Amino acid sequence: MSIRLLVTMAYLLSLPFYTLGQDSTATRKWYAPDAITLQFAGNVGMFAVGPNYSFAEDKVNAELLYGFVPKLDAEEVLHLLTIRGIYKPIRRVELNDKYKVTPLRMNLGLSYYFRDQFSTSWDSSYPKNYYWWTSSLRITGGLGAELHRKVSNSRSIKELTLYGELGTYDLIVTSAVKDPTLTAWDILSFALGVRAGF
Amino acid sequence: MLTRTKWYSRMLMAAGILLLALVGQACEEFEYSPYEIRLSEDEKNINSRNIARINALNISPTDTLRFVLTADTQGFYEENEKLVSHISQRDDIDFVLIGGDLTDFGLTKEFKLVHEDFKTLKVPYVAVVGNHDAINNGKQVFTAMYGDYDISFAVGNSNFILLNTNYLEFDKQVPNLDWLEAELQASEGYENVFVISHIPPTNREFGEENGVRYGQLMNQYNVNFSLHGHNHNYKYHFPFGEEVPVLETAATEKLEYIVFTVIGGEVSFKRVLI
Repeated sequence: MSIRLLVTMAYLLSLPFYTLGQDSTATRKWYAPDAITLQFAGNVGMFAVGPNYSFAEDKVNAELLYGFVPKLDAEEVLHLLTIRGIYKPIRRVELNDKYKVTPLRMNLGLSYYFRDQFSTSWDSSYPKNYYWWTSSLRITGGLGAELHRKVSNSRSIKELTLYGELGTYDLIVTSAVKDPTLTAWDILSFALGVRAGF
Repeated sequence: MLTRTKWYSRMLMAAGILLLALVGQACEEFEYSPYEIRLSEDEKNINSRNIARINALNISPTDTLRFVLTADTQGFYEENEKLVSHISQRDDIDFVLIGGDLTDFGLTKEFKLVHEDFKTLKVPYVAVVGNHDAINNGKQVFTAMYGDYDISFAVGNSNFILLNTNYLEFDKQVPNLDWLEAELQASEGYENVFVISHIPPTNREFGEENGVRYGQLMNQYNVNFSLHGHNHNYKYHFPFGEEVPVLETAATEKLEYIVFTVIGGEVSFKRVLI
């Protein structure tokens, strides 16, 4: 991927944070995020980072994450953008005055891959319905839990959240549906993340 | 009675311990992307390592050679397991050829799952690239795991030429028929020649302009068999005249495979239904 595209993406991702230096409680701009998320693994990149928006008393979150996967045994690094929604049906449980727990979080995301070999449409020379999926877009999903810690001695960060998730993605789910010998553990993988709330 | 908070935290702790135990046992991996390529040593250079194993068998030109042809293992893990264990019960097989489409989506995970089954064979296996192996990130995965697309190797008095015929997935730049012709010329010292590729020359996805020249080459160099997968059904026909048979093997899903026996210049085959 060209440097220019990377810079553009970094710029777009950082836009929402411009107003964060200002008063974070009262008059925050509509596009200013409520938190920033950093995730390790979970099919959105080795590391993924981006703004998090909180709705309905944190019952619903929206995130836009930029992720990358280093070369490892491949020829090229992967870059991807993921937009995802997180739903937490159960309210936070207070453990003590510092820690709270969200017992269940569910996420559903759509990733876009910036690479030539991932096409958004198939060449017209392919027979019709030869391939049914779009290779540049992947759907990911997961279940997990969150641990929240109140931060009292910082001016900008109010809360730190640690979360873990067990997730999978569309194509491997279809494989498991097709073949009964694939177990849940063949298609699931783990992710860890932190969220800094403003 | 426990307070609500304590009850919750105890439940959570129990759930956490259970989760950690399960994760530690079965799901040790953190996956970065469906398109990541992260391999262990035994998942790299499979073709060249297995060809070295075939060479080490020291099969002489007068020995009887027996090999298996199968193809299209894509997502049929249950059937692959049965097929592999069926082949493993025999003692007469020297090696196995997979005629492409190891995977549905060209994902590392799928390639790994297929290798997990086929590496349990007592004999080496060699794979040619299929169209489904060349989509998404598949080209890079296949190269990292199996090696070059166009390769050849000799056993006894037979030469095996593996050809990439995935015309559409390689921007109509394959099959490389010039390379094939050079390989066929170099095969002249061998009594038997087999050309193995995924898409049969009679399919439209082979590229119509390639089909004609391919047939001419088969006849000109007296190729014994043109071997393929792709159509998921057994088919034995002679589209290029009586001299060169074209054989398509069924997908592993059909629970069948082909056994070829080479004795001197005589080649025969048997369709095995499990």
